[in-house]
Amino acid sequence: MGRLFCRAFSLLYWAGCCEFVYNLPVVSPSYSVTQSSSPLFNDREVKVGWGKGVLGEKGLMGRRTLLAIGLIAITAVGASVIVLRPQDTLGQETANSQPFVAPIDVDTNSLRGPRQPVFYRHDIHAGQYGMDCRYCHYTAEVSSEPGLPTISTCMGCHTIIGSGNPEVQKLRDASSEGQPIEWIRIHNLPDHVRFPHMLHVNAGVTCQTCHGEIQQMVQVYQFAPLRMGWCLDCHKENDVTTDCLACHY
Amino acid sequence: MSNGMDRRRFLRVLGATGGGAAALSGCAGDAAEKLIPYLVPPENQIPGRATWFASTCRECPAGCGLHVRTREGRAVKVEGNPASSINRGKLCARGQASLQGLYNPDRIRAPMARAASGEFQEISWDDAIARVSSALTGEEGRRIWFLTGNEAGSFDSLINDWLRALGSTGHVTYEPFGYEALRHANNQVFGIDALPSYDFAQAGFVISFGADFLESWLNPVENARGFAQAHGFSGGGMGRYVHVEPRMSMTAYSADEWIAPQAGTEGAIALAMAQVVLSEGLGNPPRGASRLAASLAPFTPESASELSGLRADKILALAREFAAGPSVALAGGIGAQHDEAHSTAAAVNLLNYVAGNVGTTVNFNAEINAAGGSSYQGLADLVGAIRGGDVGILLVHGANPVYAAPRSGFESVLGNVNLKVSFSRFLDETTSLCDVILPDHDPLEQWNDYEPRTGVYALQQPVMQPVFDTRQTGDVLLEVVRSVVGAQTRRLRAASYKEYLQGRWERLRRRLRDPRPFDVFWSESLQAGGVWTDAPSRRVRLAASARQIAGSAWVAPSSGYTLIAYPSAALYDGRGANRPWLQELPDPVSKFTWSSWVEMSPHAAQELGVSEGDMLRVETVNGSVEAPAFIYPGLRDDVIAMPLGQGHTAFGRYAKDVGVNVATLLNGQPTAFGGLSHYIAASVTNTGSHERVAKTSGRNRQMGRGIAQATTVAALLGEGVQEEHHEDHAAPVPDHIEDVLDRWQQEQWEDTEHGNYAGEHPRWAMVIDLSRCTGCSACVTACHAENNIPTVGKEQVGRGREMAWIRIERYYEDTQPGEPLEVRLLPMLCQHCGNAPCEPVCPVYATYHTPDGLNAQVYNRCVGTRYCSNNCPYKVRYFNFYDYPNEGDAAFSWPEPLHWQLNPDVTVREKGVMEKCTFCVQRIRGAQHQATLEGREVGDGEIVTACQQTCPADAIVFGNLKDPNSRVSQLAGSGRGYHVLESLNTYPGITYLKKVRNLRET
Amino acid sequence: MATAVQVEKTGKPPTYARITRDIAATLGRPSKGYYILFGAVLAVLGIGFIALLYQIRYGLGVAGYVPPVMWGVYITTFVFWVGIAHSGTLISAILFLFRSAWRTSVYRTAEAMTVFAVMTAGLFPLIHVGRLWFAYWLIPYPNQRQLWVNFKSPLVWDLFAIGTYFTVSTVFLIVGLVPDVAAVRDKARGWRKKLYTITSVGWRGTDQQWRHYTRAYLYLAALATPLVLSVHSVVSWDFAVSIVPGWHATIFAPYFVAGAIYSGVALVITLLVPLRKVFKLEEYITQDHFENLGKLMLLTGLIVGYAYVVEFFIAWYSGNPFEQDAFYNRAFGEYWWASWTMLLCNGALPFLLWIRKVRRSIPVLFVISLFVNLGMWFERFVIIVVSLSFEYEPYAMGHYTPTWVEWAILAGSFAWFFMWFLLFAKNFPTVSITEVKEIIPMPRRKERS
Repeated sequence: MGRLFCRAFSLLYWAGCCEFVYNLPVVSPSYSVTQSSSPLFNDREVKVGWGKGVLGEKGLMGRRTLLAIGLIAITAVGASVIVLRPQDTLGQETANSQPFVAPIDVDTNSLRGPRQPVFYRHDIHAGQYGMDCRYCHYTAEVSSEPGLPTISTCMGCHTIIGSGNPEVQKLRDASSEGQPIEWIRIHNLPDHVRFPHMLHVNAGVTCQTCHGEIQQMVQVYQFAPLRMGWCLDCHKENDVTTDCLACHY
Repeated sequence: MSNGMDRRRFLRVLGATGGGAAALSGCAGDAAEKLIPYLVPPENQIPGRATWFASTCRECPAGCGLHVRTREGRAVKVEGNPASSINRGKLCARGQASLQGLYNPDRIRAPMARAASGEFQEISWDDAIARVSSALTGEEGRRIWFLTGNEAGSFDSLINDWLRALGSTGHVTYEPFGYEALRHANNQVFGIDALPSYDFAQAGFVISFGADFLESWLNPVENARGFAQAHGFSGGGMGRYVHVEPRMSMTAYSADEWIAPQAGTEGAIALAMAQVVLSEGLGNPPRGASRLAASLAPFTPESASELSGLRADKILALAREFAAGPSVALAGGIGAQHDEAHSTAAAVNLLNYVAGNVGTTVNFNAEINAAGGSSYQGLADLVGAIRGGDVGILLVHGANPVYAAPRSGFESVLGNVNLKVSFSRFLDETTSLCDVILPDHDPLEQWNDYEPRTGVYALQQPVMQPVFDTRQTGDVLLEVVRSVVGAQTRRLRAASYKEYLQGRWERLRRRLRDPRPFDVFWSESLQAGGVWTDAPSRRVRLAASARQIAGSAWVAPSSGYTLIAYPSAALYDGRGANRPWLQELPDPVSKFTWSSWVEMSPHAAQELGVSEGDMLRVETVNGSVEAPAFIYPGLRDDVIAMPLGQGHTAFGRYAKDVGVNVATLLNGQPTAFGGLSHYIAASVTNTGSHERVAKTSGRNRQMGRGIAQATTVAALLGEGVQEEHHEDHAAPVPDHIEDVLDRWQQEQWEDTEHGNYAGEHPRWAMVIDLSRCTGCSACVTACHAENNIPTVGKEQVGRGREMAWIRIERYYEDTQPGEPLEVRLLPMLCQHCGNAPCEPVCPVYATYHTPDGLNAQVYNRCVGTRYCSNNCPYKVRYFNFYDYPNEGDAAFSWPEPLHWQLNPDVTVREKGVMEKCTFCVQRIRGAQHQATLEGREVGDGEIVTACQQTCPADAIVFGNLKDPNSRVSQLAGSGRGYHVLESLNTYPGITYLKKVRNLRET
Repeated sequence: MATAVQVEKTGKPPTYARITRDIAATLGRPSKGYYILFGAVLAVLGIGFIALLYQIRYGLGVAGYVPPVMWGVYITTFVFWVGIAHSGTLISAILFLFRSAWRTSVYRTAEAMTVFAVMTAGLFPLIHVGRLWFAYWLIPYPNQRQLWVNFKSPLVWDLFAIGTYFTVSTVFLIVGLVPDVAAVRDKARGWRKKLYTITSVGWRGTDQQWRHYTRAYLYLAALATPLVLSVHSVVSWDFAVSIVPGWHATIFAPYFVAGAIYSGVALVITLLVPLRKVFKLEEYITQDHFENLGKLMLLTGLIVGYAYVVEFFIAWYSGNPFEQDAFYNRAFGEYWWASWTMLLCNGALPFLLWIRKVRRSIPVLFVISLFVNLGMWFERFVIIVVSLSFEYEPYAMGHYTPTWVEWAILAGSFAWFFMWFLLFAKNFPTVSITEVKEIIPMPRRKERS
């Protein structure tokens, strides 16, 4: 409903712009200077002269330029509206079927997303080795919080695997020092939003829908806009409630 | 939502494991969002879901069972433990506020010792323990004294063992509310120096001689539950309750009749009643009763009437009523403990005895351990001992006599003690005079147990990592004694206090003949929160001394007033004063916050030319204090009253310099029964200055608008008594208009039948039974705790900007000159109107109606035009005038670590936003999510709002109105139901059940 | 009809030349006094602005709100300024349509006042909301959140009403200025020259231009006329559609419109009196003008007074206890002083205007106008604050007193208004040259004797 209003309103808005531009008071040079009977100009002290203003000597030109400006403005507004419309089709394409092989050496400077304290690679763990997301994010199905792997989870394998890998070494140090690793949060919703992971996961929403093809990401970056409109589009497509109090309380 | 400290950062902090100190550093509030995983997955903890721990409330001696909700390793809410035979899942405001004891920013964060400069400075634990040990080694045993609060349980016995090991017997227990009068009387009449438990549920008729049994008296929560059971109207009828006291306390609000006799003459009335019962052979007196006839004979209704000013025939009627059925008479609480209180109590004992209540409603087999054998006399003796130089080392735990007994001389003699050691969690008045402080864990961080009553063994377990660098006193004592004398006795060989505790529980298991192996017994007891056994039966007979009836009464001063210093409903004896929630909780009677006050009858005030807020100087032989006046019609003209609990000179930012300490006006020397008298002759002068009082009540009268309605049993049982008239309903709506309205309403619904609103939805609704509500205000604090409601402080409350989403409205009813005052109470919260005036006026849909019938408030959409509040006839919308969660702000209300308590499921609101009751929507959604996961519907009673959960009287019921079988819809349909301001056509979601008064014509 | 322009002692009417000269003279070099006055105005404005920043930083708590009084000085002042705005359009548009010649020398001032008053009023909704930085959410525009405004809410109607009114009155003012500006254009030098050339949009005064111009002016007048009634009706609905006792009344729309014009005319007088003195326009703005304004005040004042009476009567007659209590409280409650100030200034004072002497005595009119302004501010204060302080829930009744922040911002709003007005008065002809000329007899060539 609201959306329909939006469209209707923006149309009206553009129409209004056009109207405005056309009706601007401009002087046409075709007028001839004549002695007026109006009281004002009987006074010799007042010289009659051209207006030198924004419209310039040639009023018509003024009209054109204004028209041009107006049209540009309109298209700008239109474009912005279109751009502002959240993309619906993101995250729909599925991972290709043949086994994925993580790239051996990557130019880490060109990667999107923040650099984490430990250069953990989802593409190797989730992609190449095909580990289940829920092995580490172990509460995604039962809790609103997906859960972070505890260091002991990592060390489950990395006490043996990955010796010599400096990143793994960081992990082992952290574990031996008993210092938790401070990961940088990437998918960060505002505090007035509730996102119950378990409901989405159990409703069959894939991790990729919101987090992108994370099993192929060398370094994780924010894939989806995570803006309200984006949430709403998905909710509407799947005919889920769009009641404010579903997420805001 | 707010930048100061918010849910997200809260979660981040909570990710971290390890000691409180470590976690604290995470609280500094750096900008970058960090995710901190656990090192090892903690047992049975799912991030984002609550984990519950059973424990025991130690805010007062009642010993209620607790269920503590923790999120990511932090306690965020306490609720009653349904298994506990004391509180059955309910809690009072003080219990709810125990979290603010745990997270109190003024807790002592590490051991401290007094430096040469006289200032305290932090020291290491080893150093602290070394200091104490060396001092103890140097001191001879008998000069070592230990002063504790009421510690009935293992800790008590540990202290005794400990002192014995050091060759000392100097264990003094001091509980400010020691009920010495009651115990003295019980000893005199029945030869039992203890407090019985009272069965309110059985008592069809309750007469209280000054016992504030719904506020502080013994087990308020338990009392409230039983009382509501007997006195709440249910179909057939209800019990009756008469309150006899010169002051109308909050407890008396629930009374069907309030009798204000001459101050301190309650005993005479009780005796006269007993005399009537006995002489007329009423009730079923036990065999021994007849022996009392002779000694009771002189106490006739006439003589009592002379003394008390109460009509003799009234006394007669009361006596007959009392004897008619199961009844109970209660003797004075602390607020009625005057010099002759023991004789009042004795009289009441006799009354109960002759009516045959002893053994039925008054049970000595289940002794209540409210005092833990403490007495004011004991403190006085200690003071004597110190003065006599017999005390070399004094260790203080859980007692604060410098504040609670300022005239006992304790403070002045304390200098004679070489070493004063305190185990206090807070820098209170006594502790700030000590030399070494070894801060104890908060009860929620401890291993401990507590026996509030015979047969009840309640357990405490740590529900989270310690917040600060504190240590459990039990462990410290064990370490100390080992280093001083070595572990001689087997008991003291325990490696830790927990081990010591388990040792005792092993013995308990054997005593109870429990078949389970110990570890099972232990873990299951921990899960349950304790062990509750039936008390052994016990025969009670009259003692020889019972017949020496003094019948003496308090002698009112010839001039001036009788000052009554009564316990504060919120702050108890003052130990709650450093909890912002309790400070901001409007007093049930005066509705004042953050202050003391002087209660004065309108007539007396008129004589002095005093109006509310005028600063009065109250003067007694012991000194004088100044406090604002509160004009209160529930008071005799010759009596003034002041609450205890305020006027701290230390004890943290929230308690210090708030109000005045009334105890300084009372006599220091112990009374005949070894207690402290709370009555004293006082004079009042008007200082002329005026204070803007921080009170939450606008007007005290309903202006005939039928906000809080009442009816009578007679009317309900159809004995043709006509209903009271409300201007609100002055112009009855004609039927044809009614039809139009209904049709219109119908159309309204049909219009909304699309989008989110299509299909079936529940209609969340609430029923509040005014015949059960006692005004205790536990719901208010529970709401604060659940919904992250800021406390705004005195100045803002004075401007009417308190934020509590639920408030207890208190109205005086206009009564005829002769008649006693009648008070109506009404919990007012968002009515979640079906046709809400606030909704259409919001320009941005920040407030709107949800499909499930909630009146939503979307904080992040709110612009703050405040039109919704203007248009709300119930005035239940609260505006964030300041940025309360912002550390930089003057009105900052969660100084670290208080904000650790914040509920992660509820948004913290920023400035410029409107907020209000949400019917605990986070709980609704939680239940719905769980149901969805389990593929089922939400059942009735599955969703429990915070206020409903804690209500000791079970006055609140929540549920789906559309489900005809739900409790809420059945109650809403009952005859007593009404909507506040019904004529406005708002279709509220809250139905109130009229208060019912059980009146008798005499 | 009273002559619009006073004939001098000589008996000769002023020539066109002198009119132009006299009025153009008002645009001459400002005196020292002007600068001092302007400086003072800016100072006050500064104080108000600082107060506003302070409020934005710490939240609305710094204002004196005491729930349940959630609207206070800000909304009061908002309605006050919106009201002020109305007489301008009335005088310039409606009187123009009625062809009442006396308006010619006063309407320009009134119009300017209108525009600046709306500019001032428009600030207050922003100042009063809790989250100023989100106030733009009241504007319906397509957004990624896919949210829309609530057209049921009178606050949204308000937005549109004020917006429309500002646009129309501004256009009306500018169009009215065109010929005059053209007249002074060629005298001017420097930046003023530019200003005038722009604002006179190439006016040369050809017949055709005049034809277009007069028609345009007529249409605009016709367009503006309904707004005089509609805008303040909408503003009144801000209150009338609520359920607050003392707000919930059908009389509000006419009552507010009358009050608006009343206060507006009062302020016109307040402005004209000193203006006339300073700019030596006694010839053009004569006693007759003031008498007519006085009459207008008398009329509207009587309507307002009548509305007061009706309000109280209906409150009693309705039999609605809440209304009855509210109005009893209004007259005898904690705020009795505010109500009686209102009743005296607006209800009683206009009766003086029955007396011709009073209407013709400019000093007396000036004093009366000041009182009326005061009274009208208090009217809004009484309606808003007093009603809110005494609603349905007795337990939740409170007493509101403004704080220094609110007073500072109130003062600032006046400064803001006068800043614009002073700028206008010194840079644009405050009396319409053209129209004044229209109403003096045409000069004829002298016959040879």
